Amino acid sequence: MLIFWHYFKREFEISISQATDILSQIGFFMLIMVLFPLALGPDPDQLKQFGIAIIWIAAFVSIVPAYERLFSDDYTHGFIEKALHNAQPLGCYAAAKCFCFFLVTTVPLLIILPVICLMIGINSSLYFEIALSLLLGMLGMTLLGGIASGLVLGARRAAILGAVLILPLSLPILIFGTMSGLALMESEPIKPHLYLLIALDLCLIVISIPAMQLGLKNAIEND
Amino acid sequence: MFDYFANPTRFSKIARLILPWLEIISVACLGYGLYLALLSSPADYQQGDAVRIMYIHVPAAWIALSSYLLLGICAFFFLIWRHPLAEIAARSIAPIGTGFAVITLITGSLWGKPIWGVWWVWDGRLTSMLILFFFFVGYLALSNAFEQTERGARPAAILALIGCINLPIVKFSVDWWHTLHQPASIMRSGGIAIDSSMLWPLFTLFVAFQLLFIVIVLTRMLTVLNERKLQSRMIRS
Repeated sequence: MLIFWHYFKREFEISISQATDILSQIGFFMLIMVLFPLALGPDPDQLKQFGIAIIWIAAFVSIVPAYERLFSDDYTHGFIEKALHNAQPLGCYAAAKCFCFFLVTTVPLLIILPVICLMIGINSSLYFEIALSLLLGMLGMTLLGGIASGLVLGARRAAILGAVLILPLSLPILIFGTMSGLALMESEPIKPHLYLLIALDLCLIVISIPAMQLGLKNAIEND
Repeated sequence: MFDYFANPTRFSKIARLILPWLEIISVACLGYGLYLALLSSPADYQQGDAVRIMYIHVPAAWIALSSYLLLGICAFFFLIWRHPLAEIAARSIAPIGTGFAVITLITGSLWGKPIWGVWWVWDGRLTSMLILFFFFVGYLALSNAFEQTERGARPAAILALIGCINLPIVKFSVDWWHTLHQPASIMRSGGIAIDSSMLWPLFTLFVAFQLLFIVIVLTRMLTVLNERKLQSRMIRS
């Protein structure tokens, strides 16, 4: 636990020092959001109907290219190799890294979410439910991104390859996430969908940590 | 017994011995099965001659599904025991499985148009089959994404294992969701729901596709083995 905290602090300080990355991430998300009203037409009813699905798609598409950099900096700077040689737990390092990445990408997203809701005409009283489901969905996405990022270390065209690996795996999260949104719009209970998202996240935590560990170890050993 | 056959030299020897026979039997089976399916079997009382697409569609889908399972098993053996032959087998299976998945999707679409009236619907079976295809594509992309091809083997194996989650979803999608795609009619509780005049050509073509799959995979494995042998000889000399 102490090691996890130590890694987390290091990651958090690095991400804060590179705050422009976070800003450009949010800018990318906003730009994708802008594309939809321009493509679908500005009809408020239609936007409201597709609103939550649009938020989910924009969040997914904007985040997927970023996962490639999750481990690649530490990999090229030799940090992972050092950790492996000092017999430090790579799984713990990967989990801390993912958790930090999840926080610094999702929290800004949730901060601007009310503005987005206003822009596409979703009732602001639904904000907390949408934010909660998005929070759960993005946690699962980050873990998937961690798996893919570990697997593509050292590959050619790693960013596009990572996206090809992540997107098919991310479909259950997208389905349950947008189903919670639909339930919300029709004022049906949203809890079952949130429980399913939590179940997916828990499964992914169990699968992703050994998978990331294997991927990182393999990348170091085969260089 | 597994270790006995997993020796690459012994494997090549045995594979070379049985391959010509398998080729002959698979071609004969394919010809006979196609004759049964396209000419001598009866047309469906509702679907007419369109039902003949089934004889290609269903065996191709079985092969696509089972080849991903086989890919997962090979990946497992490779990750745990690091056996090179398992890696070569996985590498050889993946493109063939992709091909059968494509055949399944295309024939399904051709069958859907006259019967359902649409080329494609987003129901559980069709979508999960499409995702299976994407997993094959991801495996192929990842295993060939590195400068040295051997470097991609382990990441691709991990991906193949994770992708196995999709297999039960494809198989049981027709039971879990009410879909346009018809439910299972062969492997189901309550017995087979197909008349024997149609079951027999289906079964023959299934055996033919299975043999064809084995023939292509074995040929590919032998090619890769020879390629590696050649490479190591060139490095030595």
